[in-house]
Amino acid sequence: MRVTQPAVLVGPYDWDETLIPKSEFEARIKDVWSQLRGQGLAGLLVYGSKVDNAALAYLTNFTPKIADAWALLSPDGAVRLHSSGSPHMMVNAQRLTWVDGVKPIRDIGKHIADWAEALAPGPLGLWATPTMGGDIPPRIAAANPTRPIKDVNATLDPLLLPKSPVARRVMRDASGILASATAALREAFKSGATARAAIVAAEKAAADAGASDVRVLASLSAGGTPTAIDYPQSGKLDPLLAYIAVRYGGYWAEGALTLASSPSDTLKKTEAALHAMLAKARAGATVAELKAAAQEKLGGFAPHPVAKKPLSGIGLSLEESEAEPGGVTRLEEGRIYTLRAGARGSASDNALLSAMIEPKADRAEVLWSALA
Amino acid sequence: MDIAGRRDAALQLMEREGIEVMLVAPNELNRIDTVFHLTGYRPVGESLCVLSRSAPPTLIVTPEWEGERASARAAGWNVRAAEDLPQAVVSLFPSGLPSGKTALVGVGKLPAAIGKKIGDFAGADAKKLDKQLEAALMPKTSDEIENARRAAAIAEKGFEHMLKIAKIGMAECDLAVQLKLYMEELGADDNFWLMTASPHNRAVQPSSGRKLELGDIILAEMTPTYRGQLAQICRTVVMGPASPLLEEKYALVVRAMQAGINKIKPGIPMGDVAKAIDDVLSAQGYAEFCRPPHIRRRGHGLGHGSNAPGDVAPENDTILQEDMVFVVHPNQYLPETGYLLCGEPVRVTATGVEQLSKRTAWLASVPV
Repeated sequence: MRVTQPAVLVGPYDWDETLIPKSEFEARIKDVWSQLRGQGLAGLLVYGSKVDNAALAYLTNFTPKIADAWALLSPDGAVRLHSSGSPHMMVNAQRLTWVDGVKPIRDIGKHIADWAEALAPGPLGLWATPTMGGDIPPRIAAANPTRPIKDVNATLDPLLLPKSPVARRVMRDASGILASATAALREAFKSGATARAAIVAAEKAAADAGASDVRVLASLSAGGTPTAIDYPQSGKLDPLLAYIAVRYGGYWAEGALTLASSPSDTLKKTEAALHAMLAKARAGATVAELKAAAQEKLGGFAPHPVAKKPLSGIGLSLEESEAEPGGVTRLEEGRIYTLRAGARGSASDNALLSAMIEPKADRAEVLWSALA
Repeated sequence: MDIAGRRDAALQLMEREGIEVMLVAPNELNRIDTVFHLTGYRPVGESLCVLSRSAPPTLIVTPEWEGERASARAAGWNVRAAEDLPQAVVSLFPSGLPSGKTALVGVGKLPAAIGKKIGDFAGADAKKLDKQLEAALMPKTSDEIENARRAAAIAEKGFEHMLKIAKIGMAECDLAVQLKLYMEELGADDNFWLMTASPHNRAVQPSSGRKLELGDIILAEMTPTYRGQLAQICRTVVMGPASPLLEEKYALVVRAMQAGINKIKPGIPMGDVAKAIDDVLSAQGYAEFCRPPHIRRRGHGLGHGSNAPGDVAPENDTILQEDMVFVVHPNQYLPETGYLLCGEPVRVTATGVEQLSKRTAWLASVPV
């Protein structure tokens, strides 16, 4: 799901060793080099921005709060980290990671060239998010003319998909925070709050529960598709469609829900569709099976545009990059997914619901559900 | 100027440059959102304004479900909601873009794969008009000026609230989040909000988990947006009583800021405002602290679509014009006290200056 991007990330992102120990990151770095074996790389560049930083956070816990950051990895396991901001701003930047000696970015192409002087000859790998601006790679290439830059996303992105026991624990915690936020949203809706007031209530609940970040989208008009509430608003919307994403320890949890004072047929059918998907969900279940189960319950209703993709992986990104261009094809044990069901009725009669699950061999463990 | 006038200004630029079609993308990472500046719509996904001298303006937004909000916000634009931005551009120009008569703005800031497809479609001879477009769209609309006043009022209320809720032992982040939400309740839709504390600061930074202590000096750079328009106030707060030395030095920094603000009027270069601030501080023996690495600028433009009129810096020779909006902030490092923040948002009037904040910065303290 696409969400609004704030000008600066304000919440608590400091590295908490009790949440994700250094040994977890060291093991991940070993995995990375193991995956890259045979590619002849002299070093690895890892990019992340405040918008998307899955790879960077996976290896360093670092989430850039203002703009962007780079981790430079040597094959011997050493890591150097450069962050946007002035030299004096590195005091707080240092708190975001286990990597010692965070340095400011002045000219990233030159920083990379200086760092690469100590490396063996050979190309550098680049593991970057899809949101990286197109003007960045040419700058790096120009400053490093003797070192080809090789895109290794296809090799390394799959490492982000299976969740370690530590990551699964953090995602359970994140789901608990999501539950607090959605409960506050429901309560605010019941009390007659505007969409904007309900959003603030949800954000407060998430912050009180320890979220690093929270993004909320909601209807602009009764039954409207959740979006950014960018202008002040008056009056209660009923039904209200909402989407909440919370981040904790670098990991996201998300949920879509529909609040209505009197549930319509569309909402009831959407609930039945999500129930049906959850009943079918288990390791090995295909997206086609889940989609068919939902469609049977939705009857003649058109699918909601947000639920066109009924399933996606979630973790350090809200929507993980999959090996298949069409997205997830089959549920896998050890991963976490979002299931979505939605229907469009007439005018404001629309519904959207979701659940977060961890597939097991014979069932799906529900981490959060709009049906709760 | 209103927002439709801004679109006309872009079309006039195209005419001057001999351009038939201009594709304009936002730069999300650096908060310069030219799409918002042109249309009034702030994107959640990749988006693009398509301006043509022979066809109505089109706003392409992604994902598809953003169509409703885009249509509500972007008055006068044909909105196309799509899943694939490059494909949507191609479908608008089935015969291709006019060779040598196409311009690109901000396309290099789009995600690499998307920007490359659009750049390839536009061709190697497409002109880059980023700077020219920013200059053409510089004047603030009357709505934006009013929104800047509202944003300044929200920032001031936020600061008053900060003095009520800050306490020893509270994590910087927790205080920052509470204040962000408070300003959101007051109508802020975003906030470039930096807040940090220590007994001797070297810079203002994004908040961390550090807990506030007695004697800390909190630096607060509050920049809420109201309907997308930013206003910034910069403030300094002591946890506990302020020392006479700190009082004295803070008064000096405020005096320097006031000298800069008093200088503002149409027709002078922006650099003169910075020099007026530097003169006050230099006269007290701080000339070496008026240069990098201690200070780069004494303020900057305010807007989600544009940083115009640029930095309040000695080398900025932009001539001030009526209705320019910017913040003047000396934000000075002094060896005796550390970094101190004070700053006010201002508008250039026909004869001088309007301070958008009601109360000028003072050294605040939280009783403990």
